Amino acid sequence: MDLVFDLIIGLSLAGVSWRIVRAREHFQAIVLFITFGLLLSLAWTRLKSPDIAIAEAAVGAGLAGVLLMDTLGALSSPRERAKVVISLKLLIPCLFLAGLMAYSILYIPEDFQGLGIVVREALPQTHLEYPITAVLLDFRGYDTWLELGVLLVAVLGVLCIRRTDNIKGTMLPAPAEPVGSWIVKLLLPLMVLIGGYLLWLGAFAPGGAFQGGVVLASAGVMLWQSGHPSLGLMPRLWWKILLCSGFLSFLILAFSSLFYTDQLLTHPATKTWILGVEYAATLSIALCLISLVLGSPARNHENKGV
Amino acid sequence: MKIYEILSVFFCLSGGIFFLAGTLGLIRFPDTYSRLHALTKADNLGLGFIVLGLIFVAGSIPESIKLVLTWLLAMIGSSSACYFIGNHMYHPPKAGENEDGSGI
Amino acid sequence: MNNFFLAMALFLVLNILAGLWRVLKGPNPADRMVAAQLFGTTGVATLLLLAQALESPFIRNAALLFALLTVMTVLAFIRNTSYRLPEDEHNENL
Repeated sequence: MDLVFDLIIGLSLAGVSWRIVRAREHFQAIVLFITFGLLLSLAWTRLKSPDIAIAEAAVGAGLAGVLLMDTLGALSSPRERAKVVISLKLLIPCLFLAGLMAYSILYIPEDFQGLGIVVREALPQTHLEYPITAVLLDFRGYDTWLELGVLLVAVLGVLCIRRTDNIKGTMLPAPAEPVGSWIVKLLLPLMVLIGGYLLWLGAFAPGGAFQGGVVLASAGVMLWQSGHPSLGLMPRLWWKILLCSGFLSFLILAFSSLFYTDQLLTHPATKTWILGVEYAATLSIALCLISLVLGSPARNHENKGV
Repeated sequence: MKIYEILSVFFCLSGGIFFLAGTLGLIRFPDTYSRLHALTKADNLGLGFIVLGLIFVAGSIPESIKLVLTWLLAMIGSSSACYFIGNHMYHPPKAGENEDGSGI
Repeated sequence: MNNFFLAMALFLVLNILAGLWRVLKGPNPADRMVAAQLFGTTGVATLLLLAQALESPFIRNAALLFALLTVMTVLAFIRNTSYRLPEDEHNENL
C-alpha cells in the first residue's frame, strides 16, 4: 500500500509538471502549479518531513497563488505553446546525469543515518528540543543569516525598480462586499494566531521562523487584498527597521559573540539568544514577503497611474 | 476491532463517498454554477465526515479541537470562495470599468 | 487500521487526479478556479488522513494552513481576471 501511494504521487508530480510546461494558457498553468504544490506537500508528508510540508502548504496555498495571479493580470499576451525540441547534444549529458543520480541512490547503504546522530548528540548544548531548529539557527547559523540577507537584497531590488514606494497608493478596492470585509475580520486574527503558534512550536516541534513568517505575511497580503488601509498607516521608519530586523539580529549576535570568544556566531548556549533571533527573523521574513507581493506589477496599479 | 474504530471507518468511508460525488459533479455537471454547487455541498460534508471519523481515533481533546477548527476554516474558506467566484461571474467587470480601479 | 487511512488518502489523491480533467478541459478560468478550490479541500482531508496513517500529528498543521489560506488565491483571481466567454478568451489582459 505504501509503495502504491508513493508511486502514484511520484508519477502524478511528473505528469502535472509536464502539463505545466505544455499548457496552452497561462491560467491553466497557474491552476496546475497550485495543484502541483498540493501534491508536493503530500510527497513531503510521505517523506516524513513535516517541516517542509508545512512550509510548502503555507507558501503554495497562500502567497504563490497571489503572486502568479498578479503576474497574470500584468501580462497582456497569450501564452505560446512551448516547443519541445530535444537536441542530441543536450540529451546525452542529461541521460548521463540521470544515470549518475540513480547510481548514487543505489550507492547509499540501507542503514544510512546521515548527520542525524551527530545533531542529536550536540542538541543538549543548544538547550533546544527540536533538532531542525537547532540546525537552522545554531549549527548552520551562517546559512540562515545569509539567506535572510538574500531575501533583503531581493526586496531592495524590487523596491528600486517599481514606480512607487507609497504603500497607500497600491491599495485595492475591496472585492465583492460584504463578504470580502467579513472574511477579513474572521480570518485575520486566526492567521496572526496560527502564525504565532507555528513560531512558538518551532522551539520543540515542526514549525519555526519561516513557516510562522509566511503565515504572518499572508495575513498582511490579505489586508492589502481587501483594501484595508492599516498597512499604509505603519510608519515608514518602522517598516524599514522590521525589514532589516532578521539580518540585524544575526549581525548583533555575531558582533557580541566576539566579546565571549574569538569567533563569530558562537553565542553562549542559552535558549533566549536563539529564540530572540528566531522571533526577529520571523518579523523580517513576514515584512519582506509582504513587500515582495506589494511590489508585484498588478494591472490595477498600472491603470491608476501611480 | 473496538467500537471507536468501527465508527471511524464508517464515517471516513461516508466522507470518501461525498468527495467522490463532488469530483463527479465537477467533471459531469454542465455549467460553472452547478459545478460550484457540487463543490460547496459535497466537499464540506465530505471533509466534515472525515474529520468526524478521525476524531474517534485522534486520542486527545486538543487534537480533536484542532481537527474541528480545520473543518470550520475549510468551510469558511470554500463557501466564501464560491461566493466570490459566483459573484464575479454574475456581475462581470465590463471592459474599461477597471480603469479607475473601482470596478472589481 | 493505519493501512485503512492510507487507502482512504490514496482514494482522495485519485479523486484529485480525476478532477485534473476539468482543469485541462476548462472551458473558462472560473471552472479551473472551482477545480483548484475542490483540490484544496480534498488536499486538506488527505493531509489529515495521512497524519493519522503515519502517526505524525504535526502534519495536521499543514492541513490547517491549507484550509486557512486557499481563499487568498481566489481573492487574487477575482482581482485579476474578468469573466469572458470562451471564444474571446485570448484577448488582451486575460
